[in-house]
Amino acid sequence: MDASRIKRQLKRLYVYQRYVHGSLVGGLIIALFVLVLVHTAAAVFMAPQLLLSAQAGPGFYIVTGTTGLILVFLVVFLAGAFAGDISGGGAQLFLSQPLSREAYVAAWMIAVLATPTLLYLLSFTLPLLILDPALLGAVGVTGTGLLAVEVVEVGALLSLIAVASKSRAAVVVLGLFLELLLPWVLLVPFIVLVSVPGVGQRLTWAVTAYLVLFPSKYTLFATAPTGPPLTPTQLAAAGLAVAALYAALTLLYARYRLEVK
Amino acid sequence: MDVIEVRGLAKRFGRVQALRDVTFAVPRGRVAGLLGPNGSGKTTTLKILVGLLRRDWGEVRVFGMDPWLLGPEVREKMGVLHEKPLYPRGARVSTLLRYAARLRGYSYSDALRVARLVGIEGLLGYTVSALSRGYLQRLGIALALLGDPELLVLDEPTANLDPLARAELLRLIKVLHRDLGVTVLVSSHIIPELADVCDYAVFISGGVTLDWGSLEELNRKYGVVSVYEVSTPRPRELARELISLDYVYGVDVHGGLLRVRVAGEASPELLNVLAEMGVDIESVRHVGGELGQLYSKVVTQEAAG
Repeated sequence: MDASRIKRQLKRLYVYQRYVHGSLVGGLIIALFVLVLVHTAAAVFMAPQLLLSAQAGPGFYIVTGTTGLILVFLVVFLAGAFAGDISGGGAQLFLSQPLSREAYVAAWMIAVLATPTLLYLLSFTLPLLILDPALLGAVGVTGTGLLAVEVVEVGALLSLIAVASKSRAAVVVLGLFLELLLPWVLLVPFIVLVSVPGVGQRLTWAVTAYLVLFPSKYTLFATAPTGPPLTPTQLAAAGLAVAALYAALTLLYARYRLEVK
Repeated sequence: MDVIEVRGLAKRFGRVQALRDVTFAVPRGRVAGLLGPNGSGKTTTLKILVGLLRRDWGEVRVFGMDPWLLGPEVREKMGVLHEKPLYPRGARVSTLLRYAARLRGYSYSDALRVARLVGIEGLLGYTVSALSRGYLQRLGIALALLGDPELLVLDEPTANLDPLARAELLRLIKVLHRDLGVTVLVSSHIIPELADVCDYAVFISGGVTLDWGSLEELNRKYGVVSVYEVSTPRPRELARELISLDYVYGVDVHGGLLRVRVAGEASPELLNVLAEMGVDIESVRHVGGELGQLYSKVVTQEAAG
């Protein structure tokens, strides 16, 4: 592909992602408003305790857990909207214009993965930084960062499911299952087996795989006898690599298989 | 040069073999009708030409490019109207036109020009869900005309349009073809409509092309009445001479213009006779024929073997 063609496609990707974001702007603004409100309120009310103890207590984690859930719902909803656009007419309309299938999918992936994650991180860090940068140091970014990585992973996987199934219902059901049910179901064998003598050590690879897929559950293993098998940075890198793999598969599917009736 | 070239095209959806062997070509500057019964594979063929569907077998070239692999490059020169245009729910007419124009490198004012052309300039602030089917069809036509395409692919373009809008669209197709040399591939189940605008036809049935070519050639081949317009300063004298020929079925005089209905296979003889008559002939133009009759003959003949 020559440079001018790539440039034209990038320009169209930019134009189309503006359209996609424009069509989703209402939902994104509401989500951002709620996230900023909750994070700011939490930071304001818990600031004295955070500054005194220099670490976040359970109260703050309940707040970030709740807003994390909002982020998960947002990403699942957006991935569902992506599938709905493929089956519901948006894809037919815009792929009848000089827009490549890859650019079409990439624009939606930006809206599904990058935008909500960025909004979440901004809604979390900005109130803390504005109130007192020391608050960010007290809270730490490990938990939030790993949650963001996990959401990017799930969003990329849901994008792949969206282009392959073209079904909003399938994407939403799978998304909720992947984020709300599967991590806890998979946790049960670990809880049972970790106390069995001689088995715990051999579970390392399974725990590693589990944490790469669900990095936000890192803290659950932080107090395990063997400790977590990877550092948060390693987990984030591995999680982003998995997300990149899903994204590449989605783009390849778009290139060679995505048909619009 | 052929704008569209299709050879041995096949496409399957699950257990349904939608296309088995579709082969045809459409030369530049033609208005080609894609004719066939319901379920014959017209829409599937058009979607493969647009690059929305992938072929299973065969070869497809539009402007010499594979529309599946080089879709954006093909669609830069192509405008598309689908049989059932789908629009994102809740989207505004103006938004769709604005972004479709930008994807083609055109401005919103270009989109407004096209909106005026198809009569939806008063609906720009509406959402698509508030539009009637006829206006949705007009929006589809506007989107197809954006960017001054060299090729228009129209799938049942007059569906959902009232008679006036239908006539207006057919007039628009004629104008685009005549004034801008736009090549058109249009499918419709209303054959008389196509007879009025097409000079080329592709017949398809059961996922197989039965025949294709210019209407003049096809009329001649299948012995179907052809219609010629002859311009002359002495129309009555020429009409008297032509009506005496046994292969001329009728001559109508409209001022200095004769409309001559002639047996399809005798078209070359008519042209020879006109050349030899010694009467001043300003122009001779094939303007169509009995497309319905041609369609029946092609289908019957191909079914017979």
